[in-house]
Amino acid sequence: MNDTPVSEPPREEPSGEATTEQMPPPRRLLRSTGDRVIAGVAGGLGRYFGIDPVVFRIGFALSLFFGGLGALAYLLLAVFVPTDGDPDRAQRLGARLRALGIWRGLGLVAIAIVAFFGLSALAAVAAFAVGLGWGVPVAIVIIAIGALLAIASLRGGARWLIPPAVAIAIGGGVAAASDLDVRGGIGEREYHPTTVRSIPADGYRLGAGRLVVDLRGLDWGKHRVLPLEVSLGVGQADVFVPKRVCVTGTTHAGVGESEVTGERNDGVDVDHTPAGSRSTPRLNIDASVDVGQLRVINSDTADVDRPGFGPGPFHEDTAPLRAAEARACGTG
Amino acid sequence: MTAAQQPLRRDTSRGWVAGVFAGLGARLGVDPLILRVGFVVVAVATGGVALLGYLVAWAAIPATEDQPAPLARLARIRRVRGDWRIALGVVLLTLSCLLAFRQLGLWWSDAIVWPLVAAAFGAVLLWGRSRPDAADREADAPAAASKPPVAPTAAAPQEPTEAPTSRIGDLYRGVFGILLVVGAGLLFLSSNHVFGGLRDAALTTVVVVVALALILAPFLWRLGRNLASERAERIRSQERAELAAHLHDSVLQTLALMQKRADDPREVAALARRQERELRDWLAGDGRRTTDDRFAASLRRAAEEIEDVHRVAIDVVMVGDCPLDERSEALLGAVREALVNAAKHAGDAGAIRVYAEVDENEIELFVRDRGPGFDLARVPLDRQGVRESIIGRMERAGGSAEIRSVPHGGTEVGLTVPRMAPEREGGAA
Amino acid sequence: MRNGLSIDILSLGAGAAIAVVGALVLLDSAGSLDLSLGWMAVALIGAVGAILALSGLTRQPKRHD
Repeated sequence: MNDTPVSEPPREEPSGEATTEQMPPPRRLLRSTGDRVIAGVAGGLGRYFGIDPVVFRIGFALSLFFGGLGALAYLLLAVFVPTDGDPDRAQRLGARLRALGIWRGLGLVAIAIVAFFGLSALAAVAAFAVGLGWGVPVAIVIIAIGALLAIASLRGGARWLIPPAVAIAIGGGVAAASDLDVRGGIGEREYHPTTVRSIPADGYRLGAGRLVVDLRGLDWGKHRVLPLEVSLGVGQADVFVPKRVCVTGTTHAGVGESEVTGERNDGVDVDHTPAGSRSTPRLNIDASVDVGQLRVINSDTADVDRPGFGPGPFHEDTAPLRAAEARACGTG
Repeated sequence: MTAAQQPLRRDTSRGWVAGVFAGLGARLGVDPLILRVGFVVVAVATGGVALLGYLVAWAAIPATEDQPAPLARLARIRRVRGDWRIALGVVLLTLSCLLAFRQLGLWWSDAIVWPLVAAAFGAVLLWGRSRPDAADREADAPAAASKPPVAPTAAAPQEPTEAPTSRIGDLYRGVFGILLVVGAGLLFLSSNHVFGGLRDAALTTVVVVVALALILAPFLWRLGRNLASERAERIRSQERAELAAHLHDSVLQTLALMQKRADDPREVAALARRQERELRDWLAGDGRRTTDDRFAASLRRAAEEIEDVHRVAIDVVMVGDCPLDERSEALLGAVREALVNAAKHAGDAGAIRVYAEVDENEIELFVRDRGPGFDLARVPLDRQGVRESIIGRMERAGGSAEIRSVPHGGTEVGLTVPRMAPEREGGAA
Repeated sequence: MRNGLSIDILSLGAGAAIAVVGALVLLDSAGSLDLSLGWMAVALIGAVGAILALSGLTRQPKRHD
């Protein structure tokens, strides 16, 4: 050992460059080329953390049984973590993906998604306001923003205003054109009238939510012809009738789906008039849903909350419904 | 200041999107890659909600450099000009017009028009990729063209000039184009399945063929164009190499000689005159020599020239003869170069020997000298002399060159070239 | 501040389009006009398309250097 007067303790030099273990640039995680079963990910991780790689291997394998997110992590690590030796195919693929700007693309997509949600919320608020009957004020707001934009254009423009303005315009416009009406209240309403008299004269209405009208408790007798009005702004409306009751009338859906006696129509401005019939007992229904789904269900046993058939993600078999209706209306 | 004491910053120089994890990793002393992977896993597990956290981090954490607001930075990431916006805008305007016609009742059935429109847009997307230098492309909206009243005009213009669109933009467009065309076909089929039986199959086949044609046509067309341009490029580079080799042989050698004999003005003038004549002939003949020469005569002539110019002795022994063609001309060029090299380095060590044999299939030739030799491996790759003029030239002509040199033991250059046409010229010299 | 004569075409156009849509909503809500969803779609899609196209045509150069 040379005898320099004071040996410097292992601290950073005054030049600012750290030379010890406390470092601003972090230790790199590298895939191991020596200890590799598939791509050396577990080996690299083990080396980085100082734990036996077997732990990581078991972890990855186990994760396969629990949703496979570990496999996703493994793939990402294999592609984007470089090896400690010569680049292998996975690393080259990773380099090419990065050159393509995949991460940038994904980041932008994420930002776009969030912006989209924010704007959608704005549009929904506008639509709701129109549905609540404030169509005129909302329209005035839209016109005002438009005028503001036009004026601002003379002073350099206010482009940031455009996306929110468009969102509000779309929300309000769609709501106005489809005559959205949510004034009837919000929530979930179930009605089980037992006598014809207890049915309100102008029918059942709901602003937004789920509306259930269960008519199976009524006394249908042999000749009952029951007129009924149902009106829903946004949501789902279900009308239950006994199996032997024939259904006629008109249903209307602004944007959505209407299923009557197993016949399903969906789209925009959907109108459905079941084949007219003279048989009794009969329900003459006049139903309208502005945005949502309307169902008239012929069944003695269906549960109000889980009818058991009807349009769903897998479009269950609606033949029983249609058969019931056919029987009831005598159009075998 | 240790890493733990630094304030948290986004490291945009080392980051991938916004430098959130790079900065975080630097702060925590962890490889950011781990953080990124972990984040992706969490994001997938939470159905994407975690992305909000990233956005918040992006907005909230200042960057290491002095940058304007994150939103302004977003505008810079985009590499393509506003072209996609114009295109999309016009697409929407067209859509709006179509819908207006639909409202007015000027319409075929939905099942016909929408698939056609989708197919048209898909085709335009795909074709747009393969014709980058076309000015305004007229969209071929066949639905529009065949509808009763005035058709909406240009549905989807492409870029007026081919800006350097990013490759990812290209990829997206291609994928969308294909999806549109395929989707259009499927839509058409599914909404028109009123026909039964045989007609169904025929219709399906027709639609599939049309869709494939729409999708593949631009690829095939571009492939053809690429091949053609590639061939042109190859020919061009070959010619360039020939030109360079020729210039090297003649002009450069002469210039070098002129410098060496600079003290003899008449010699210099003679050299210059000779070179000038040779170059003129070469240019006038567009690089080709007269074709009624024969190989042997040309070889002897070349040897004489070099003897004159370099004041060396060259013995030529020839067996067989053949007309001059492309390949033997290349051989001649290589021989010239070899002789000049020998003359320069080994001229005083006795006669340089040339032995050439022409038979039915090939021409074989050796140039031997007894000079000091050289080490082939030591010649730098970019020195024209040996590499291009001899070896490169022979290889381009479909032949081969072999150079053997022993330090202090002389050099032998062996050149072989196969003969071109089947017409045989039998017999001796 | 820019020179007083430069007009931001995009803001102007967008403002006009949005004002038109607002007028339609006003008329429909006030009852003078019953717009069907189809026509509203025409108006909305046309407006959005016009705004997009305008935005592509009037791309501003980078503001900060």
